[in-house]
Amino acid sequence: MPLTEKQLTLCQINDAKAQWELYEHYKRRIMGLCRRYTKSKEEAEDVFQEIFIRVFQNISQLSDYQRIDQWMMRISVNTAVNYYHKNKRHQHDVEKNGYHHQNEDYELILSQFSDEMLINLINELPDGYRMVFNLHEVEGYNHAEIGELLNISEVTSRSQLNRAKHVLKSKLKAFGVLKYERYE
Amino acid sequence: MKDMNESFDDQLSRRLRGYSEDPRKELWQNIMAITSANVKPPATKRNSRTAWMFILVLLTIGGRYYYERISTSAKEPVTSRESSALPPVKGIDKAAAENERPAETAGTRTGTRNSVGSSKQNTTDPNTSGRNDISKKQAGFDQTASMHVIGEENSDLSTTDDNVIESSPSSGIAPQVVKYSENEKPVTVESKTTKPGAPDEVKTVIKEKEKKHNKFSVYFIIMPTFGYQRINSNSSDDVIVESIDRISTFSTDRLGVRAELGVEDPITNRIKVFGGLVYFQRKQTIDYTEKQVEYTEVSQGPNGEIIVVPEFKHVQKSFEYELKNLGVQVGVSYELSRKKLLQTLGTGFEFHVALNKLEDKYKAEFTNNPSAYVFYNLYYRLQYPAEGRLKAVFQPTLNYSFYINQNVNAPFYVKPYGLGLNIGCTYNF
Repeated sequence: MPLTEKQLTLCQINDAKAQWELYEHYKRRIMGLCRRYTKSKEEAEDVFQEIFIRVFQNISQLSDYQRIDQWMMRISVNTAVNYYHKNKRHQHDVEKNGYHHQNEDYELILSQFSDEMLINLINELPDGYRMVFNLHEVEGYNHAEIGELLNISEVTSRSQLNRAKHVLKSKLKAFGVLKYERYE
Repeated sequence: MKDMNESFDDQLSRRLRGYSEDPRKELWQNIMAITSANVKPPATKRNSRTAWMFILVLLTIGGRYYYERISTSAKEPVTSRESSALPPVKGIDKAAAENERPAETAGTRTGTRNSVGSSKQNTTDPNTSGRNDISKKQAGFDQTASMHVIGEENSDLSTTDDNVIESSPSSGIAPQVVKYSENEKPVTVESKTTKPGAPDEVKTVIKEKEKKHNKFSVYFIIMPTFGYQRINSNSSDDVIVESIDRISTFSTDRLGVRAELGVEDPITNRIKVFGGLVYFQRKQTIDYTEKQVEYTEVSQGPNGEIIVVPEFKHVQKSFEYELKNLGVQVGVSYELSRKKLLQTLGTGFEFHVALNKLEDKYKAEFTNNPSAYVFYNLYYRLQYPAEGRLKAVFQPTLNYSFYINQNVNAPFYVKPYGLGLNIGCTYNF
């Protein structure tokens, strides 16, 4: 059920019931987003809380009811990016050289993955790779925008995206092989 | 290969974009715990508190005004006026002064007002009181009655409505014109010549009034209260409080209630000592920013020393506290003036004990509330009306807290300290 304009107005005057309804409406999507951008469920919960705190604190600034979806998603992504900046870990890039698996049926492997497994796979990416991958592949940001958000160059953004994909594929393959061995 | 990869990317993006998950239920509670402290309460709540305060004040003033109207109309007879209807001070003082003079002087008008009664009120009964209510005729020719009542209906006089000729024809003094405004109440002045016993009555009235002001009495005050606090961070704990969000002095967010029940005893006409119980209650949320060490960077300096650089993060927190204090107070007040408003200056000491305990949710983190206060206060109190049992109060007060129980483990101390404003009502039993 979509959120109504009245509910938004009530949220803006801190009506607890309306806030609850807004939360109920967006909680699953935003938790999903948080899981994609963070390494663990605990971190995802931290980001999730921060997002809703920012939402309730700033919702009075939202004037156009029609744009609430974009506004919520933008706050969520920005909060996740801020969290990434605050919690940067100095991790070594894994498998820098990557694997180049030609003629592997990745689509087939992917289709056999559950969502939970897929998220776990994304979580295992190094932080920088994961951020670029999410922003580019899922949110649709271009490399210039990503560079600005993450304080990196466009080239770095492209390179990290490619590496992220390589890592994902190699992990998929490994998982896929294991799966085939196990179930076939 | 390229097609396969793009398809893989699309599929991956689609699935990730559509991924959703239920958060834990506790997260909502956490969010609410933080946001309800950080966001300001809805405007309606704030307005309602302010509205209730004004309603209380208006009811006090309105009720008092209505009571006065009822009692005045009940006391005012049509044909004669009782001495209680006299304008309280001036008229009586004047009359009293007159009565000290020799009879002939008083009778020749000086300082004496010849009043003209209503044509309906000229049924003077010399035995009823020491005053004559006379008609035009009597006003002109009754030499003994140099003190009269100005009636409400004097249109039959040969004067204008607001002018009254004041003279005794036999005195030989030219008539004097005294102006009265249209709304001025008729004045009754006592005469020595008409009733020798009158001055004693007047004196009695004055004395009774003085007595009324000077008797031992019990009072009750209830006042919504602004201000009254200073928040200091506790420097002896491990919590770094970077900043505390300010609330303006007269914000309804810091509105509390103060009630006093006590006795006051006059030691002179103007000075009273008082003492009694005080109850004070306020609930408030303190929003503050805490500085926490996020991580430390440890490195080795050029001379082999270890350099530890902490990186801080700022965490917004809130602390809810509720003051419920019961105390005793003693003090002294000085009456500055008593006209329409009763103005008083007072000072005193109060000792408060906290009745409430710390909320359970803070017990793990903090040990207890401050449990005792001693402070000094100085106030200026305006009361309306000056007479009567029930009065509206407007009272700016300066509090100085010079003792507070320091044995606490909270991030800060909340001191009832500073300039405050009380608006409420008093009732004298």
